Amino acid sequence: MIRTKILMSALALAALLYIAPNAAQAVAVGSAAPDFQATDSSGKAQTLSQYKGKWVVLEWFNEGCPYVKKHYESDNMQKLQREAAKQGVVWLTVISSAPGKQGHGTPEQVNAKRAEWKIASAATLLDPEGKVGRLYEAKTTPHMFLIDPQGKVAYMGAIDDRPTSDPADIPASKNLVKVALDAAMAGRPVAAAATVPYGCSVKY
Amino acid sequence: MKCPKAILVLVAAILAANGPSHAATGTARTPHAEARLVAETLSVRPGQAFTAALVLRMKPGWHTYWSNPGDSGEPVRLTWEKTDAYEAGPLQFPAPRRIEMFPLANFGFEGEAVFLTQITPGLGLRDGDFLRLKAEAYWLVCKEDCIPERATLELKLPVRAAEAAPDPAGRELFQATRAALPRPWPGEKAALRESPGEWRLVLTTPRAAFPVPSQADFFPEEPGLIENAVRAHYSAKDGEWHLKLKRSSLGKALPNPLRGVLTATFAEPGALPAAYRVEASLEAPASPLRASWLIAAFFGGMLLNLMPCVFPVLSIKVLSFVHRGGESRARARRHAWVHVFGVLVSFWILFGVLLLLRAGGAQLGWGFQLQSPVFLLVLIYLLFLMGLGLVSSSAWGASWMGLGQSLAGKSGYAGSFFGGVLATLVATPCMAPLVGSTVGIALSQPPAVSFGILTCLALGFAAPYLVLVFFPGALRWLPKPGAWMKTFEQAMAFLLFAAVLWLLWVFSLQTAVSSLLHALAGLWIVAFAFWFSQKWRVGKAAWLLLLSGLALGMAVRGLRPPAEDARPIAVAEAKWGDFSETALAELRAQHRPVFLNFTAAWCLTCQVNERLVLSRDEVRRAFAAKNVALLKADWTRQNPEISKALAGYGRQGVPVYVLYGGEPGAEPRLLPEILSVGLVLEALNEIPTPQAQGETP
Repeated sequence: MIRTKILMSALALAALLYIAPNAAQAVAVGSAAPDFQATDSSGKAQTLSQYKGKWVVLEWFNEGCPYVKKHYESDNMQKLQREAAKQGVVWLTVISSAPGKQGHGTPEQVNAKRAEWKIASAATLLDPEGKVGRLYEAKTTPHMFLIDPQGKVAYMGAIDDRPTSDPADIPASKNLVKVALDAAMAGRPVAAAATVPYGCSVKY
Repeated sequence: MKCPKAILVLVAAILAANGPSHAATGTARTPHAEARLVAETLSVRPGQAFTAALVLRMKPGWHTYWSNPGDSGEPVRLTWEKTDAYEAGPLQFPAPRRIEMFPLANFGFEGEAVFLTQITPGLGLRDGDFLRLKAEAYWLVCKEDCIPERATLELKLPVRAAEAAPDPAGRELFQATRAALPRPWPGEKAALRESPGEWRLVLTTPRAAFPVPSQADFFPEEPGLIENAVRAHYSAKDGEWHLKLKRSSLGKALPNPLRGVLTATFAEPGALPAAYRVEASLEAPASPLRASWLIAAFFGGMLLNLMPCVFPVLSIKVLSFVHRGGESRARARRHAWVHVFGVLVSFWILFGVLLLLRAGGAQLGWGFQLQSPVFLLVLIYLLFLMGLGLVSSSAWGASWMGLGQSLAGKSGYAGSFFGGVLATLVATPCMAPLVGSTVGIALSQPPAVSFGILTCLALGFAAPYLVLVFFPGALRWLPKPGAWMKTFEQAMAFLLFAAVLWLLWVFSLQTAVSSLLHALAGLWIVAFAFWFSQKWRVGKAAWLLLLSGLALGMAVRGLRPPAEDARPIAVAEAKWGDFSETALAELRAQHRPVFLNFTAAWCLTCQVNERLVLSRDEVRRAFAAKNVALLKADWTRQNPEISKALAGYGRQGVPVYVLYGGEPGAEPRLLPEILSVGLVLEALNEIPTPQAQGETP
């Protein structure tokens, strides 16, 4: 009996040691993107694992944030979303704003915004508890992640290299997500694999 | 003079509450802030720079951002119109504060923030003109939500040919802002140590009693380096402030130096918070193994063969070379390999032991083994035994190598190996040119790098044998073995006995006089053991007696540890004061030049330098003429303070000679390990001669 107990606790300890660092592991380029489960604005369940074999873009979103507005009111973001969709990339928009905070909305409100801004992502994930956001350590809106068909992070960071709220900066900017996607589609490695994101803080 | 000559112009025009707000005036109000452009002077003078300030006052609860905004946000910007009328410098950010929004953090300002900038009016301006300043200020103001705001600010200042007078109305604002600006770090060193997942910022405070903050935080200039939400973990000890920073999972490469602002708050009532601009250079551990270190180590090792403390052992080397002369080349080559291997292995073992001891917290440096009387005894007996072997080489029939053979009871290869070990043991405490600095570098590096450096040092030291390995033909250059060898060997024996004498002296200095008697008794037993084994050819008995001799010697140490009086050891001379950090600091505070002599009785290079250079009359006179204070740091016995001081100069062994000029804050100058009279005099020449001493009694 005692021997079994010792064995069990040893196994449990080993399991803990094995799991603990994995749980604490930060999202990093080249490492596995953590799987998540969330409901989208049309009520469908969404997981990362269901898109295994496809390129996936995660985009943190807050309709009230000036930096998000910069890229949506200029059609910059939607254009990229349409291009990505054409190439079979799954684009998931994520709202991690807590209830009562900026950017939070009911599914109806979110769908209305999708229609108004002609948002061309595959779905908008509702993450009011910030679970997906914290899992990915999403810091800003927008904060972009590109995940490869094997489920590994290929790019994470800023949407472009002009960290301002001014849409006038878009034409001269280099869209880092587009660069990463282009490289990915052409089968080249993604160069600037991690950058510092910019924007409003995610309203957890 | 009643009305101020600086004229603030125009009206504040506020646009819709939601959109970006525009105003064109010296002062602008936006929904969440008020922005002002203020000049420090009432008028300006062509070509003479003055300071202007952007004053940003936010609504309560709202904040804006520093140049590195942290996890989100955007820095405050001030964009000047393009004009030839003036030139504007960069915006000077005040020290930021941490604005926490779990799980994120921002670096920025709440309430009022003042940003200074230098304006240089163009030379084309004339007396009576007006200088019109125009800039667009942009700031992102956030509470829970974020709103970008901007305002166009204008300021009209009269141009005068006369010196610009300060505006009394703004004096307090500018004074307070300047006082709070981050100052350059006043300490000697700001270093960054890298370890997995974190960076440790180590700041060495200036020598004088420096106020120790109760809290400190660090803000890197470059975004994305650290986990912003993890506050720097601060601790202070021994005049050093340590701040642990958590690396960002972005895995960005660390800029070297790392620039940023350190903020400190003090527990004492009334003590103002301080902010410092810090430039921390990455400490060696992260820097890769440099080829130059390896080359220096190799040549240092080669030179080590010529140093005085290796000399007795050099004689052994010479002998074994000669002995090899009669053998086949292949065999000689194998012996050479074994010798090199012996050197390498003993370097590695020494190094391993040193690392272990240091990991245990001991302040030890290279040559640490000679600080141990037990080790000294072992060495003394070994050298003595070898000397005996050489003197009686006719009776023994072989050379000292026979000792190695009898010790191992097998082939002569053991002797070659043993020769390498012995050479290393005697040589390591000795510092040759290049050796001091390379060992210093090696021991400050991570183990893998120090291992590489010390291996090169060992290879350099074994270089003469390596030559034989690769060019066996070189053997021809050695004289043929013959009858002369007997005489030569006997001569060498007396060199070894001389070394024994020297080591006994060192031993006596480390222990009490009574211990010396026991050590000598041990020698007697060793001599007897040797005779016994020769006479009866009983290897085992020799072993026994040898061991008993050692055992006795070691018992000695238990008898009398060195007295606690810490009597000055190395060379007693009246002129030298005892080294301590305090003594050094005091002398430097008096602006006296100081010469530090780090020495040890067991360091032959040190002894040679002291006898042949430092105690020479002309050198002494030069020291006196420049009023140089002489301090001696005696490392014969273990002394953590001295070990630490040595490490401070990047060294881990003696000798080290350091010369401080009289001027405050001067960099110390390190002199080479081998001194010459000319060299010391030349170094002293650069110190100004004191004009009048005794101004104060």
